[in-house]
Amino acid sequence: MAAKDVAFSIALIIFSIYIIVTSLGLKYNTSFIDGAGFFPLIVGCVLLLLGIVLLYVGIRCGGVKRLQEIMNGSTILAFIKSDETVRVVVLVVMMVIYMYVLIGWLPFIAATAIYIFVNYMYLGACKKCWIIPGPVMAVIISVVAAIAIYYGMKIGLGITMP
Amino acid sequence: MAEQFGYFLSAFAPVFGDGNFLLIALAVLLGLVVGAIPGLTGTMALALLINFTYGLSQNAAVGFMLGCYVGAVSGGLFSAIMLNIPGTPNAAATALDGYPLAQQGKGGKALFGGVVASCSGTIVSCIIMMIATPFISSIALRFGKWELFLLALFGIMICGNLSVDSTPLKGWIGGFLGFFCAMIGVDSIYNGQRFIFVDGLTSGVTLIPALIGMFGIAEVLTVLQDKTPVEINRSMGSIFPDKEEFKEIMKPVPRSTLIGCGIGAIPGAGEDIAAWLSYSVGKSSSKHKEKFGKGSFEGLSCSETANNACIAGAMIPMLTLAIPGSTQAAMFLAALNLHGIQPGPMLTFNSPNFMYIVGITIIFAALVMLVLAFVLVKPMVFILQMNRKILMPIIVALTVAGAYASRSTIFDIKLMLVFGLIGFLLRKFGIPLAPVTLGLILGGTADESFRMALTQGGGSVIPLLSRWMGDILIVVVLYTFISGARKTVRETRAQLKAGKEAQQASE
Repeated sequence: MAAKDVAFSIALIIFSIYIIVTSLGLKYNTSFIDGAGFFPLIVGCVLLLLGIVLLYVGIRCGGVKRLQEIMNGSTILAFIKSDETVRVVVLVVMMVIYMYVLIGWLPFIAATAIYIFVNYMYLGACKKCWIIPGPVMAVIISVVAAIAIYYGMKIGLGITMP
Repeated sequence: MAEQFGYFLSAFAPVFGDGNFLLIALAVLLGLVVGAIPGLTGTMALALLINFTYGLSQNAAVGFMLGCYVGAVSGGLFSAIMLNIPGTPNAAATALDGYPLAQQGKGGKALFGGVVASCSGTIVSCIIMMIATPFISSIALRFGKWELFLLALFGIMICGNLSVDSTPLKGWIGGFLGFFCAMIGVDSIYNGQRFIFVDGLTSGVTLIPALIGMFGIAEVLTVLQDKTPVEINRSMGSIFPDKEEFKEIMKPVPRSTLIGCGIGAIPGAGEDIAAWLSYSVGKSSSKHKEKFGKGSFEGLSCSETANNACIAGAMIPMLTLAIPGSTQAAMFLAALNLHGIQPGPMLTFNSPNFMYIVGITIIFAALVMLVLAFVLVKPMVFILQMNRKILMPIIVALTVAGAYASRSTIFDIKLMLVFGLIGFLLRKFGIPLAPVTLGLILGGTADESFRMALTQGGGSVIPLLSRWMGDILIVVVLYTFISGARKTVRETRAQLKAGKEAQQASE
């Protein structure tokens, strides 16, 4: 965790400096104190301070040494190739495609059915049931779920759907 | 007093009228099922089920959300006892004694005990809430902008201090990151634009998509990254405990209710802390300490009573000060805002019977939960076996519908995904999400109150120090900060010591 703390605190320090610089550049009417940038400036300063403390704690707990150990080609490659990382990346990519591309381009039912089906195939979620093969089960569940969500929300609950 | 009694009586019609009681029962059922499924937390349940309130009337929406809340908090005990996987984080302490009881063939009795304890805790804490809220409201009415700012600051400080599995330092970082997210958009006083990274953020971060993302998408990713299959213990034995076991279940109820209600009233503390604290107090004061962790009905009752008592406790600061006592209460607050209800000091004037509507609804929901839990004890075993890989993609589609429904813009769906990824990464770095949520909710109030208070003080905080309520709050904030800092130092030293010992051992 110490290595993670060091990495996170460095990112936090950079981010808080960005907040401080941006806040100082924001326009104000009468005085800076009641301007839009005053409170974000305080928040940025507090985050900077907390980031420095976290960095100090991380360094004291051997975070830099641990980070140096981790930050070599073979460990990074092993991390990238690990099952967990690959699964999370693939799931996130599927979500991005679904929410940024499919929704708005295709009707909700089609977009959702495709997303659920692709997920099931990737995760190996649907097994053979009775005489119905797994992929066919995946198609059935995906389409039924998409239709149920759409009409359940739209007609059943009067919610506007994408 | 007579006036309050009148408000209490007038609260029955909105709770039970127009078939609302059926809706509450349905909500409890949904909450129980969602809360029971491992990986679906109570907060996630509320985030998903908020969708269903869009088309409902104000009273029906309040009933529905509270029903879900009670059901979801209680539902976690099923998987904690039968699978040793807490359905919700607040049921983690329940698993310590519940699962050993299930292994001993007393799963049915453990479920009965847990449900009875949950119901008792909810009802007693609700009565405490209905008595305490008017008094706290009368104090809250004296709060000015300075006190409101200090209160918001206290909220994220104490929430950071109490975050489970994290140091106060990381909790505070989470809280201030939440504050920053609340700063995005046009500022509320002079309409000055700040941190508008993309056009859609001009009006700021929309609360509901952000919360759905942090607790829905982040949860889905966390659950699906894990390949571990779920094993279930099918033998449950008898449901009804004998006289001695029943006594053990009921014994810690009064103490655990007080602990749960008290912890619930602390901003952002939540059900999991209440359950662990109550379990720890119960263990240290029990005559049968040796049974704790090996299958004790008393231990089971300690955690289940406290986590449910927390529901009503969390309502006290939420209704009186608009500061949610837990992440689930934050979801409820978001739903209230959606339906035009503004909790806070003025609530007692604008809707004097609202607090009683909440109280009566929670009590009714607890009783429904008691009945449903008995009916569901056996079928729940099949629900627990549901394949999470099948469920999670469907949940993603539901989160999309929920995020879109709040403002009918595709941008909110994208915003939800961004917050989902932020939530997932923050978890990976050990930053708790409860303070982030609280910061996001309270950030706007803190900003506006602080700047207006400074304007009142002529640009200085010195004149504001003459306000005695503010001074008390300053002392409380300082005390919270010092105790959090000491805790961080202690934990860092322990971490250092453990590291050195491990190094010596390896040498």
